[in-house]
Amino acid sequence: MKETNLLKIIYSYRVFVDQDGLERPIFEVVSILDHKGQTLTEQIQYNLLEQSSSERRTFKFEDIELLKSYFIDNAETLKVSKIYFLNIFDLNYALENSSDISDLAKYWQQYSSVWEKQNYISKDKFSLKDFFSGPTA
Amino acid sequence: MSPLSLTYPEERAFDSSIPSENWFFYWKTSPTLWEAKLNYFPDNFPIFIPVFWGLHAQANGSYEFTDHTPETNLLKLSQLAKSLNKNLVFLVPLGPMPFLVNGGLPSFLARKLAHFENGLVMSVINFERKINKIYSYLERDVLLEYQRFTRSFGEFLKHHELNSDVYGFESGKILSNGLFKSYLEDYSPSFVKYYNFYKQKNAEVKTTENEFRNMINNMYVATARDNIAKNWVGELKVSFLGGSVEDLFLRSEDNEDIENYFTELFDSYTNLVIPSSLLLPPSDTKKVVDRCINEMTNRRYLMECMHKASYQEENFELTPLNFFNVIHDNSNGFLEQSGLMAYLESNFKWCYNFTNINMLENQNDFHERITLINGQAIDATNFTKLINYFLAGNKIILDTQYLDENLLKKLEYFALENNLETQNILLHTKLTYYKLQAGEIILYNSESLKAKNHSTQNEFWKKMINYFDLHHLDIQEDNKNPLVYFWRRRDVTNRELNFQEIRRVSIFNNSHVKKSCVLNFPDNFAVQKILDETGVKLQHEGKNMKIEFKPYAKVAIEFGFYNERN
Repeated sequence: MKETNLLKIIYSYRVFVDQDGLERPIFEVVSILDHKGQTLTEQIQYNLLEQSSSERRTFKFEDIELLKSYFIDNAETLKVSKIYFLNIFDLNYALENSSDISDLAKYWQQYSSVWEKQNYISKDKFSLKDFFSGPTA
Repeated sequence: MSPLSLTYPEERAFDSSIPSENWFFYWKTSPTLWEAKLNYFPDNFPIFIPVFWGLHAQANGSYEFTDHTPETNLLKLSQLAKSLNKNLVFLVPLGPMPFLVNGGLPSFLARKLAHFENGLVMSVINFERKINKIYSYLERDVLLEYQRFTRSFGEFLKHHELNSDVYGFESGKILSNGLFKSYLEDYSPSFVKYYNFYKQKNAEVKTTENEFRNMINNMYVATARDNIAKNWVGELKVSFLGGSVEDLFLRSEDNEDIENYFTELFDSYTNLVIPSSLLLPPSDTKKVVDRCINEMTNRRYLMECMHKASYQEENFELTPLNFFNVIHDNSNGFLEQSGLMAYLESNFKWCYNFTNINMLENQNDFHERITLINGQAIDATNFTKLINYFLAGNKIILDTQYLDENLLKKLEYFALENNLETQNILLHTKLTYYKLQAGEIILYNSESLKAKNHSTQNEFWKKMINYFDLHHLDIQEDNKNPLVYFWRRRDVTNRELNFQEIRRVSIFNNSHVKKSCVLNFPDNFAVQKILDETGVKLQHEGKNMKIEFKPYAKVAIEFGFYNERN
């Protein structure tokens, strides 16, 4: 497992119709990035989960808060002190409207939520520098 | 300058019209400078000229390639090249060109953004650190306009009697699993809608989404080939380092991960595609990557990718060492789930080719080459090709899990009718072995392997591959601190007749920490040369060589190889 104290979770949202014909939401993790922006491979993602206390083997959740709290609850096991959450639709909006990487950084700032050890900071209260430079410690 | 050089040995300032290797971006510089720019390139070596579709499209719906607008005057460019004895190769897009705005589409066609498989808008960061958004080519209007564009280009070449080779240019990137994927592959909601519409209209034909993508891809190839028939040579695949979705995340942080680029570079050779650093910004990292591309993408490799015969003397140029042809349709996890990819990566890293069954040719290498096939890749039309390949004395390992039952029966009848030597063996799964003279084929079903743990899978593959007695030199290193190394081979010259082939391993330490490795070479390997020794300490005793690497050190070792059996 790669040692890191920061993760960025990109998730998507879709609706599916279950066997009873009811529409149900699914929040699914698309990518997990480390502090350098390196994408953790699927195998490493699973290793991370295997080492966590949870029995969960997939990254699908019925609610965005469940998705977030899953990773937050396992933060210690995952050896992370900071987690950013980004919705892929917001990220796509950012990509569509950015002409270079500094533009992209500005858009990402607007749409990300960040959890920091013992604190949950709402989406507009963290520093852009933190998001793009990774941890200094 | 070496006539075999793809890049420039001398240091020169970065030039955006010649951003990498042997590429010329005619639209990035004034036509008055074209002559001076063309003079940078070695004579008679291919200069790749991507034809910028969007640039040649005029407001009145026509296409311009001559002197109405100086910057689109490909006639002038061709005439200049001829007078300077330069070899222009035009690359006509068969899908998005990631280094161009809108992927190269004219703006009136750039309407629907393509998506990567994970749902992210398809974008790449170019060498100016700008974000290029890629628009979908899998649209009816785009294909219709492509007809007009390629027809105009074909008529232009014909009218002016220009003889330059034209290739259909398939741009792609290397995925984290080491496979090449074209930027044409679009997973956007609008493509899915288009596919569903097609399905409704053609309910009687069961076409999967992937088949539909391939169908459109084939339409692009056929359109370009038919419209530019006189100059058409074939398709040319190029992988762009730094152009994958993983690179998008990494590079959006302004990180350039050289190890990652080296991996993509070597993976390009296993996919038989030309690697390019066009998307990388000018930096020390790019210089290092370019030096490696320059050394490895020699004329022999280039000619192979360009479907051209090599000159006799080019057989003495190094080419990637391959022990395996891997033929797969990876949609069912053929490579990963049976542990095959993990085994190859640990024991024969980058010594395999990903290819397709129609590309199989009889091998003339002195070492054995084994063909590993996913049964799903075989259909009624290419089944005969497989049988002929076996009859020609080649070695095949075939996974029957997804092989059509009728074809499996046909293979069994073939073995009976021809009285092939047959054995059945149990090794975690049932193996069936057929032999006819030098030809050998092993059938196995990967289903039962999937549930096994990593070490059992590894043991299975070790036993299977050991049977073929491949001669490969083992490099022992710290698995937690691995080095990067790449094997190549060449034919022997008159002075090397004691050997059957020459193999060279280039070993790099691309990190800031010291590393080491030990080479244990068997009797049929003899050290011939040690080259490129930079920052390494070698201790050579008998058949062992210990190498210590300083940070960013490298060395290449050349071996003469002979097979005792021959």
